[in-house]
Amino acid sequence: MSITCKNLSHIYGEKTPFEYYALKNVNLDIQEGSFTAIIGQTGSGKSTFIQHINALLLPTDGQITIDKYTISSKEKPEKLKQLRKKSGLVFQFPEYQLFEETIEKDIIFGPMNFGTSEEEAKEIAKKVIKMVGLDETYLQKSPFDLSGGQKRRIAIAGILAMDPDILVLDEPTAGLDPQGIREMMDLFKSIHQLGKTVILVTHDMNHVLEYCNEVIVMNEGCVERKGKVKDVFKDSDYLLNLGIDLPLITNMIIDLNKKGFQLDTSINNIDDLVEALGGELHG
Amino acid sequence: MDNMTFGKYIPGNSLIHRLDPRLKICTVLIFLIAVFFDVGFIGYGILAIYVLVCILLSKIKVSHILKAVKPMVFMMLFLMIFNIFLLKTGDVLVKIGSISIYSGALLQTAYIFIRLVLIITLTTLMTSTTKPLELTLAIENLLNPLKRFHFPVHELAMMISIALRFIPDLLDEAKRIMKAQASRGADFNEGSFMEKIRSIISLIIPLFISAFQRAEDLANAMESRNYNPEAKRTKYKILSWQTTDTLAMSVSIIVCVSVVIMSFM
Amino acid sequence: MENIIKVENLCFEYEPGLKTIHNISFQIKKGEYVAILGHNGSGKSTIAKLLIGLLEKKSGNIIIDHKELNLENLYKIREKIGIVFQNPDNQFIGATVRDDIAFGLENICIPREKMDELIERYAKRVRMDQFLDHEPTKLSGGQKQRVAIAGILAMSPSIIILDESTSMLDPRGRKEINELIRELKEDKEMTIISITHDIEEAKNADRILLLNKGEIVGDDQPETLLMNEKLLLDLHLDTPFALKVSRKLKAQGIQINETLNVEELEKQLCQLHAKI
Repeated sequence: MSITCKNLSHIYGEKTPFEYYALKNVNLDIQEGSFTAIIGQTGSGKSTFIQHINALLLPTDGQITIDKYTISSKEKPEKLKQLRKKSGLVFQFPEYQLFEETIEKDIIFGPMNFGTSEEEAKEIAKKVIKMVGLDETYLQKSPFDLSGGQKRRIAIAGILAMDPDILVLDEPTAGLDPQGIREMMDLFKSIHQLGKTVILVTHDMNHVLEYCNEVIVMNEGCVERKGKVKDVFKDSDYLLNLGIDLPLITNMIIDLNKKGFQLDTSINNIDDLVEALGGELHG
Repeated sequence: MDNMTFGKYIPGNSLIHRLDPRLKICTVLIFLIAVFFDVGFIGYGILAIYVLVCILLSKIKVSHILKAVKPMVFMMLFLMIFNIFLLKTGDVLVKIGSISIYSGALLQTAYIFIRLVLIITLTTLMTSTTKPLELTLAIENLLNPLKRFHFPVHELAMMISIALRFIPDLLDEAKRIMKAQASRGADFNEGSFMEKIRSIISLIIPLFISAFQRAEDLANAMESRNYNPEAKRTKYKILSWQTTDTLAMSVSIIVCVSVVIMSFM
Repeated sequence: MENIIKVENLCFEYEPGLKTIHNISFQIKKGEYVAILGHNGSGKSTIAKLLIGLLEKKSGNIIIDHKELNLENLYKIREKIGIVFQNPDNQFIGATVRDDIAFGLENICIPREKMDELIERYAKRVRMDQFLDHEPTKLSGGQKQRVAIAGILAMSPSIIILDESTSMLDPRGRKEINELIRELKEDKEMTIISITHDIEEAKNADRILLLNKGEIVGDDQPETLLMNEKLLLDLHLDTPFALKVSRKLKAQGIQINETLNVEELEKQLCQLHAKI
């Protein structure tokens, strides 16, 4: 399932005194099976854009094609529901969308809305709860008795239960502690390895460097750059200008290269960095 | 929910914007009373001119204020149809089968229509030109005499201002949860009755949980900043009554009272 | 320097038997910048709520500026402590920035004539003086947290607690708040307690209290405490980036001193590079 946008624009409050262009003429495509990061300042249009992938927002102008579903400003989309099954969207702080008395019921809410039988949905629940790192004993518990991090896993399990081909994540690690963040990111990595397209909206460039292969840079409602992570992060001045911090590793490499080192800017983990530094210092 | 812009405060610095909120509330009340007298078409004409002058002075587009009437049209039509067919005063004008329409009914219906439009436009003008906080302040001020009877005026005002402060946040939250559940296949518009109920539950419960969470956070924040409703507090915002306010008040009273008196002559 | 906060054998439980805070004792000096570090659920935010009297202790003592915290002097003590909470939206009480700063001043009965001057001074202090008449919906998370700080500073407390105040902010907001904290620290007037799980933030403190399961398991300077990699990982925390790199380089036989600081690490590396 690839995603293609053609001249996609979105205006909030059109023809009112509060009119606001959230997306301006966005053209891009996201490859099937990629792990794509969307980065940019708050208010750059990231959230507006990802809601189009789920047809929660419809284009004001232009169109977006997801697999065989094309959604444009002109036609009323008829099969929103099928599309929503195909692309799962995890909102920021998804733990706030839990509402059922047991975790099992909450997880099967999605699949059952899409017509899966209760029996089948319960089997799926058993599978996805393990995927998010909890075990079956949790299924009969109330989601409201869990810690914040666990609630978030349950909410994500509820999306995974719909077996989407595209998983869109809006700042999924916000507010978690370091271990929670690591586990969460590893979960997405394993989901990506299952062959799914993963789209990650994040402010943490360290995650982009470590986990993603493609990156889209948004600024004031436009897509300004798009490409391989290592290529985009090479242009440090551009990113800093947009107020985007470089990953710690890249930042250090660029600093050191200014002072005579010749390190590869595409290094994306500490072990490779240490090896490269060792290579230079040992001569 | 995006079209809930009417009635919202529109920043400005016109004469109407600067008037004392107490005056605005009182004027709307007096106007309300005047409108419900049977003041006749000339009377309503004068009141309409009065409203129009106010709108022009506020420098807000007339069309913007009139937009507020739009959502009421359905209700008004409903009322009017009832009226036309049920009231039996005056002469019979038209007779269709067993149903007759009377002149009195038409007149009454026209009056109702005019009254509603006048009230809605003036109230919209008030909320569009006055910050919600100022309205709260004015209510607190006007209710102040009730303190003597141990009526919790300050608490009431605090409650209103906090409610006003959090309405946009809660609307956003509701929108967000609706979208989150829609992406899980919840259908708020179509689907069977039971499906709809479930979808609504999936909105209401998270919304309540989040509202309670907010309330707790807010209570903590207020308490930690030393808020104690029973203790003495100073006041930052105070209202000051200007000569312009007295003049505006007099004009409003004169217009309303003379229209009412005219209707008795 | 004298101790401004003294906590002795403090215990607290949300439910009987559930020891959220277990027999904690510590002191904080006037003007000190202390980070309370721990993973989510370690009890660190509970300590903040106990210090400001939003929760009632089960046993033990809290002494703030020589006064024991109890129901009688609750409001007197709250005048000395301000707290910035996690969620920027849920602590903005006023309809505008101006009104929000005024809210605290009204509570401590500052005369009306003096308010405008205080509001303007502290709004400027947090660089929000251009936004005095803005509504909260038009502000970013970082701006709202800055207003919260201004609201507290205007009440001139001697202690400010930041309870994960940056955890819901974007990088820009986080930077703005950390910048402000650094300035406050330089003034040396304010005692700062920062509750966090962010190692990179905690390393700027004078001292770190490490918390796990409601108990203090470490109380030392960052340079010492953050070197203990095993302890930090056991507590679901992380180690600073510079330390990870310098340790691994050392393991490779490169002559480098372990450091928490990226600049320091780069300096050492450049010196080594120059020798080749």
